[in-house]
Amino acid sequence: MAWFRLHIGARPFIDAAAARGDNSGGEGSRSGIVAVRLRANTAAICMHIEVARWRDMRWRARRATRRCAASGVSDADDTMLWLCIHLPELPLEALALPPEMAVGVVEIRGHRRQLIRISQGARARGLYEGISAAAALSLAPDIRLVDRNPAAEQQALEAVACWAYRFGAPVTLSRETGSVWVEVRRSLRMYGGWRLFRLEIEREGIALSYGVAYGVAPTRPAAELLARAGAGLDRPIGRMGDLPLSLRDKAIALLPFDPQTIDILYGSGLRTVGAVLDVPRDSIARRFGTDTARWLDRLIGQGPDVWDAFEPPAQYRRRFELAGLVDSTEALLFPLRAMIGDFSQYLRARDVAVQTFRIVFLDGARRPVALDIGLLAPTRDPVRLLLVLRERLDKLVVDEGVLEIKLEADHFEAASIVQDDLFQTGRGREDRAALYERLHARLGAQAIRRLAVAPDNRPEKAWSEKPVAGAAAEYPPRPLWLLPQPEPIAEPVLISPPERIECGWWDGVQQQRDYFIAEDRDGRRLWVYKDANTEGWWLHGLWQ
Amino acid sequence: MYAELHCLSNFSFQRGASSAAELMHRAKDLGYQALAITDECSLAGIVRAWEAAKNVGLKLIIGSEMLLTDGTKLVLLAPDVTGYAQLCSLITRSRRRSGKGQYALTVTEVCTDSDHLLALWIPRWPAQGIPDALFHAQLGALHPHFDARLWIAWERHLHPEDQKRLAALRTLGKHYGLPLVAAGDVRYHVRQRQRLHDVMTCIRVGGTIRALQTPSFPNGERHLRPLSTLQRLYPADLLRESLAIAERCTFDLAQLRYQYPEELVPDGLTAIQHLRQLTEAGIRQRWPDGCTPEVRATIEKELALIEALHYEHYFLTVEDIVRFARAQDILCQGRGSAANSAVCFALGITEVDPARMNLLFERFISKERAEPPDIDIDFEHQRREEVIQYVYRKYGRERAAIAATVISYRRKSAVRDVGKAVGLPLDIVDALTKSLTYWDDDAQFVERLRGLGFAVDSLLLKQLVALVNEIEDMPRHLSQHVGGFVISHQPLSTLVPVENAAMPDRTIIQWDKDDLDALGLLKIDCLALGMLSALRRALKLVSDYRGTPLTLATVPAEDEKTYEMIGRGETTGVFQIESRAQMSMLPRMKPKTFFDLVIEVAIIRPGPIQGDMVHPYLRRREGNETVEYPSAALRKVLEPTLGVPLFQEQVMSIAMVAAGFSAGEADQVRRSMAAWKRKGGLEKFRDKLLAGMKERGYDDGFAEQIYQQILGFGSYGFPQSHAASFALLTYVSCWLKCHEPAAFCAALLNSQPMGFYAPAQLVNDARRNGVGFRPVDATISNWDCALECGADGELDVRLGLRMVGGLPEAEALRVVQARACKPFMSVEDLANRSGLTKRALDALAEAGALEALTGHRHHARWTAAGVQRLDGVLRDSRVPELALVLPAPSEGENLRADFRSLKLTLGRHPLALLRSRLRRIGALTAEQIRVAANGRRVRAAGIVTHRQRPGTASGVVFATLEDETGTANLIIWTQVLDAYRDAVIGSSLMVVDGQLQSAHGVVHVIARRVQDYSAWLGQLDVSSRDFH
Repeated sequence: MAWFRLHIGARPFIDAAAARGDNSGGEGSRSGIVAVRLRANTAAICMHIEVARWRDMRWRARRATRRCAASGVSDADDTMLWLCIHLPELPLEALALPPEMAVGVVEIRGHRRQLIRISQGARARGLYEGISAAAALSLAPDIRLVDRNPAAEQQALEAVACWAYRFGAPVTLSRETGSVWVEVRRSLRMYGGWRLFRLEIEREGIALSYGVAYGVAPTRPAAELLARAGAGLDRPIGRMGDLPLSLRDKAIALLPFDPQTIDILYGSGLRTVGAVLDVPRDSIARRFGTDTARWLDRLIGQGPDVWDAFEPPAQYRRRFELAGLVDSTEALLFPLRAMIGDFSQYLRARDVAVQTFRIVFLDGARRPVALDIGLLAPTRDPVRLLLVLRERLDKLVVDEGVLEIKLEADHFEAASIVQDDLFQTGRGREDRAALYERLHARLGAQAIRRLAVAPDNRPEKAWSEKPVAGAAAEYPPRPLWLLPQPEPIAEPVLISPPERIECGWWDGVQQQRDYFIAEDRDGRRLWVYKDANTEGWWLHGLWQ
Repeated sequence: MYAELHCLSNFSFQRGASSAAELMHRAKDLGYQALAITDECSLAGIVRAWEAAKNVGLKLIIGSEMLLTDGTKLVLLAPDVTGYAQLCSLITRSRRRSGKGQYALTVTEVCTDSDHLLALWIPRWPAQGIPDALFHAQLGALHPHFDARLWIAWERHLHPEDQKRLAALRTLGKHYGLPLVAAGDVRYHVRQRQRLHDVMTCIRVGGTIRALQTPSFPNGERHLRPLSTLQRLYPADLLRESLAIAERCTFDLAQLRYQYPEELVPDGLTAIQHLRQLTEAGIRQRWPDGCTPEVRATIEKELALIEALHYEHYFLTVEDIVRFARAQDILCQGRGSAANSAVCFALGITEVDPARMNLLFERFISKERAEPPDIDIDFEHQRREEVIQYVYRKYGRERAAIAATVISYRRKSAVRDVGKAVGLPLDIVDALTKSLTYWDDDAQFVERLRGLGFAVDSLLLKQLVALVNEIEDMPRHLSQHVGGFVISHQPLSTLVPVENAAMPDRTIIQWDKDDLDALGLLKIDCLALGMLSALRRALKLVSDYRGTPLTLATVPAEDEKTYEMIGRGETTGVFQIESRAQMSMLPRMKPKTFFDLVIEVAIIRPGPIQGDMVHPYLRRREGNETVEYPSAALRKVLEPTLGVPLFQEQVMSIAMVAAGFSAGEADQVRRSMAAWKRKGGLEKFRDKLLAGMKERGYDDGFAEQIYQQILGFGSYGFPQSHAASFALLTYVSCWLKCHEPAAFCAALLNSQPMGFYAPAQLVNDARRNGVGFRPVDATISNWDCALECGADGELDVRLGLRMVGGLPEAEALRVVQARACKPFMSVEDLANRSGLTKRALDALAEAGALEALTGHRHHARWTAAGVQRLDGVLRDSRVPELALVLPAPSEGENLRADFRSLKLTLGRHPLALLRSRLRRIGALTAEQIRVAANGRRVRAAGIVTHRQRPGTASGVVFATLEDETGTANLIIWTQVLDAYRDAVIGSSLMVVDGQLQSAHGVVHVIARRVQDYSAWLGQLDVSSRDFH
């Protein structure tokens, strides 16, 4: 069965392009893939469609147009139709922790730290949402409390937003409420009506690693409210006119107002969305501000809705948490292949290529091992990316296994520009930074060392290879050459008073050393020490 | 041959890692000639160091390390009394102008008023090189002033540039003509403490040991090094110089002379004459018809003793403070051994009449015990600050200050600080400390760690446990004593440095209670007591309403109805005997006299319980056990308490009478018991006690029993002198509850937060006793709850605006003020005229306080939310709005709102609403349980109002369930607790299956199964008061 890769950019052009069988793709055709590029640099996402199914769909689309009109969700309506993908467990899921772990996500509300989301493991211990952190710890002292992580939530929502692109455009998201919206009216016909479209959403939704709730309505607020009410895909609301009636009985707690507002509404005896909608809007505005009143208007499509469309970010950051420790490179290839696949799709979406990127492996103790991948020329070909990665992977040593992989890329090149070769002669002066960068990209971080200080009194720990600006004066005089490992020597001729260093008890062994400057027969000045525990002499560095 | 002149103890918080005692011992062992304790800008640890030095027999030099604002570092040493006073005042000046825990001093200031002080200049070396210009600048500024009292300190800690550094100092010395002296910058007594010092550094800078934000010292050289080592490291002349300096320092703390404040004595009178005059005036007031010869004799005896011990000023000072409080209408009451004297009764310091109470108050002050007099004065908790500020005003900030309290590391704080320092994640540290306190004892520490998933034998854990043990009991910071005032005739800063407390307008001295005792300084404890506030309010309410003044002294004594009420255990809300344990004791005790109350107050305490004295006493009181005395001598001591030692004084007397302890020794036992228990020393005392008793013919069993009792008493025992003062307040509160229940309840509500019971329970209790309550009403209520005449002629309580949750006092007072001009016409009118914030208005609406103006709560909240404030000419106009028809709230909704806002409801009890459902599951009411047969199996249900796990009751949880008919008491044994832990700890509405146990009119349900039915309460906000 042949696969076509259809690159969906701007919806209106899809049908036309598909009908023409337009093939304006470049490298894609080499690998037997037809890429239909409609607009350079538009934010988009690739999707695979089975050719046969694609043909079939066009046929069904025409048929479904008629049927959909009857079910209330029609592609003929000219109002928008929003699919809201709400992530109720986002604060927890964004942290990507094992589900059986007893975890509570903590946020400060008012004056108290309270658990806003809890894992299944925590629920099994009798905890509940809204309990204070202090109370939670008394009930279950071994629970793990984690602060809410807005950055992780944003990243998770963006991942969902990227995913949502396959159903339509524009896509927009709100971190405050944890929702992603995608406008799908125009996609209905293309998928062959609501029933098939919905199957498609459900099918694709399986791949999502987040718990989602769907809501479909002609306005964004209504779609979200329905999602939060658990309406799902069973009860989409297609017509604006149906909104007030379908929202009537929903509880006011579903309204995204601040707690004080909800409290006053509730305390005034208003318990349903319908009851609130019945209140004259100026009475609402007088009490809760015009924003609240306008929101109610927007809810039922009586006011203009404004949003920022989401676009894939300019820098790529993805992390992948493995289910358990993985310690063979062969086993690492599987998740890496998936990540590289996603990455190349992102590159395609932005119509860029990459020359350097970084893969970071984190072990059980979250110690990073970074792999800086540099390519001779920019590319976005997953096969090439994986090939290079694989070469470097062979040399990777991760002692304690990998628990997490991160992929990071900051710099992209326009797809068409051909990059220079590393040692090309055309350029006269390579400044040092560029040379460093290139060496770094070509040979990897481990191949290039720069000395820096670290806050530790043990000399071998006080040196580091991180590219940090030196602050040597914070420590007593130190030799320039430090042996990677001290080497035993016979008792030398000492020419200085002792410097005593006693450190490291926290690593289990208290080092006790008296350092001296010594001279060997050739007049070289050595840095030696006497170990107080063993009385032995060791050479640790050279002064010249 | 060497004296260490630069050494920090652990009172340089988070900088010194050994106690003064450890340092002194070590220095003595190593053969040092003297040791200076030079804590950074502080003398907080100096009294301990002085005591340690006396014990060890080593010379102590008193000094302080100072880091001046320009970066100069000095060690200032006090060679004589004047020098010491100069040091104190320098520290005081530098600290008084800075925030708590900080100081600031310039070179110029150090160079004025310091002409007696010796100074060591401590060079501060960078990691590399010699900053010559900087050193010249520093020495150039110091040299002209200090001249021959200035030394350059050479402190060698094995740095690679030591030779260069010493040479540089020698050059500086020559240039300025200053001698060099060897010093050690000592931070701990032995090298092994380097670990703890590193950890302390982390705690100080907030870093972790693996990622120090400021580098720690590279080695452990900052300990007290052996003399042989010092000889190798330092030139001999520098070592000798240290001795020369030590010899110039001759000051000893014993040379300090403290004087009581003297201005209270009028000119031309001696202190004792003045005290006698005041006493005579008091006698005329207390006994208008003249006092009995016995009282007269007692007073004469006491006055003679006071004069002999020179305590006149002490009594005059206390009398002055009490007189001020009385003039300001602040209720107060003295207690303590000296307070319950006839003189103090005459002076009005206490209301406990020694003649009327007919008690043994032998433990007044005794000649042979050099114990300073001890009077604590309790004041109304909300007005104590006025008294404190009066004392500051009267004696000036120079002469009066609050004593410090040294906050030491407890296991919990140690785990927290050390845990963070060794790099445990914050949530793990939280979990650790939390699990330590919540019902788990220390022994379970390691077990708990295992439970949290730690490998208990991992390095990190081993280190944590070792370090926690090391740092425990070390001082962490200075705080202020709860109310101990030190007042002196001369400026305090000549005796001890004064610094700022964390609270504004408070200054504290750097010494704590024990330090003051050691040096014999006068201390008066001004404490806060919530019940005094409540009593003053209740007495005032009654006086105003009845038209006749009622005071502590005029409350009718020995009232029979009051004792009957106490005997029924109906003591909710009264003082001291209101707890669950007390209440279940009262029906057995059935106190009939004031002395019975004194015993009741003293008996339900950890001491008597741990010493197993409660039940023997009860059995003897009930006549089930014969009263026997081991000897005639002990009969005298034990007769008032039926042969069972209950008071601290009695236990001390036993040690004296039966085991031959001297008064001083007996007192030492009382003071040191807690410390012995922690650190050892008990065996010595036990041997002496048992030997002493054997010698006097007591059998071993009895001796062992007495030993156990003293053990129990040591840390918690209650002195009779305190119990008597408390019992008076207990009696008065019970009398008020019995005869003026409305006023008593209103006064308690107005004094919240205080005590054992939440407002809801106080109100429910009062309602069950027939007091009527009226709701909060913005058109009637004042801030406080008040009395109104009820329909039945009895008094009702009108709830005050203070009950409204989320309504600040200032806003409430604006409502009352605006209402005084003209009644409110509408909610808008109220809002506009009183200028309430929206939030406050909503709080009123939610509390149901606007119902008189707007109808039901839903309307009230909607209207309140819609009020618009208009300015200028539009002020009185209203913006019209379409009226909205809102549904009236149901009973359940009202109840929920009541609880949310007021924390109580005047409607039906929540359980009354659930009664039919409860009946269906077979739950009995509290009323039914009270009369059910002993041993019957019952199902009880109620709102959990208390949950208690007393340390003395070996893991048992006591809980109280409340329903619309009253309360039921639960006993939950450990195995039931373990099986239903979540329900026991987490329930608001608890359903319990158990067995009834009733005896002496006290009914308990012994729980077998506990279920959580909190869901039935919906969002009802009824939180239990958990006491751990």
